[in-house]
Amino acid sequence: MTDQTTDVLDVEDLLARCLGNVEFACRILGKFCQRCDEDLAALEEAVSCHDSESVARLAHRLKGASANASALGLQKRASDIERAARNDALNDVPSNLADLKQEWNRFNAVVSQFGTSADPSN
Amino acid sequence: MHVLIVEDDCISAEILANSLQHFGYEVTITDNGREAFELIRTGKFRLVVSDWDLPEMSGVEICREIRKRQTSSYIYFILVTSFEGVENVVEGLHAGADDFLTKPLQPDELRMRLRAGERILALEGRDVVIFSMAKLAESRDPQTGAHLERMREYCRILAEELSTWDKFSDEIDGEYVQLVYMTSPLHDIGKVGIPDNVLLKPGRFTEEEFEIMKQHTLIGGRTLDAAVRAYPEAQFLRMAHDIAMTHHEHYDGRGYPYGLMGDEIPLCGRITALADVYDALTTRRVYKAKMAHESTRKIILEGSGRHFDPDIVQAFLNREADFIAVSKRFDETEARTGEPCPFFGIPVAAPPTVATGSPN
Repeated sequence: MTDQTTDVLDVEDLLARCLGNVEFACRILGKFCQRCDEDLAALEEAVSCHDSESVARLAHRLKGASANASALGLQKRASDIERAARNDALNDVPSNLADLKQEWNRFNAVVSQFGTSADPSN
Repeated sequence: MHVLIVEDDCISAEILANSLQHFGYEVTITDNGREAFELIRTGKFRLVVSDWDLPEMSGVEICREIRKRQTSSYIYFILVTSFEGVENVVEGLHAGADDFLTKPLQPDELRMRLRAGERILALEGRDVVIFSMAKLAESRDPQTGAHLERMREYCRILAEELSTWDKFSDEIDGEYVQLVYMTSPLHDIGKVGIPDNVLLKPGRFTEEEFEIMKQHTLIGGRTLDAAVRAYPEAQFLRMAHDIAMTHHEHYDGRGYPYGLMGDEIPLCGRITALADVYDALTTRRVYKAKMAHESTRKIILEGSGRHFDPDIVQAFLNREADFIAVSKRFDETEARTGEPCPFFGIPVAAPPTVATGSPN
């Protein structure tokens, strides 16, 4: 991995959190990708319903999961959405959501570099 | 040590579990706050690592509910959060959290915080002290073998069974079961005040000696009552007092020391009464031979509504197989090791066959 992608996925940090267990880190990334897809869909739904409580809750959860998966960019974007929702600034959320989706695409591109094995140590 | 992880995010839960297992902890995971609270109430978990935001009941709410109750053991509660700001830390501490972890989790930090928790829990050691007190009292009368160990198992079985009945659901929960298990060994603590010539008499008591022997309920009860007055919040002391004072009361009011009747006798006393008699009958004593389970069962059934609370007798019948299993397990251990108990127990000498009858 390069320094340019560290702000998307900090592999070293993830491996440290997984106590150097590469196989476990891959499993976490796999689960995270699946979870993120579901959370993004739920988040979009909540935003379209102007349900600030659900938006805040979903964004908060995504922020925590991203932090643990060392997905730094996603963590920051989720945090922006959570803050906006908790401040009842739902008008800001659509653009934040677009940023989050863009970050999600970047994250997927980085993860796909690992190939089918999704081995972050490669 | 067994750690309960409460986390609705599967990524965080897996990372936590992986680290904890790596550090040698046993782990149970739940993703629901309400379920976590119920698990904690079973008394099986003394270390809890809980997320803040949870379905049905938040981490802070769980913590607050735990602290509202007098638990049989202290629960060390670590809140995990990605909330920012001092006000959240204050709210968590106010609810009774012992420590915090922030996401992303750092395994080394997690390990150190859990170690700090274990140090706090080790200071408690209350269960050991209670059992040591009971064994000390028993050491004056070692002929009863592993009586305390068996009795607390029987009490636990009965309380567990009753906890599943609607009638007792408000009174008995997992915590009550734990408390009965922990405090029932103190039932005869008052025997420390009974003179040797009575306590260790191998034959049947005279009327006067029996009156002296009966005093052990009052001696134990009053001693523990002094402790209850000093520490009124300590629920375990209150239960220990009730058990020591009332385990020789009879359901029909013909027991001692006060001749209490029916529900006047605390439930824990009624439970202990049956467990005590069952063990006294099914084990060998200086003054009597061991009785078979079937004969003991018959005596207990005959005592239903007289000596024993009919509900407790029914609970005994429902869990008969468990009573037999406990009795058998301890018999096998004694036969194998010659040691009646793992604490201060003294190997039981072959009993002389003398006289009959004695209070338990």
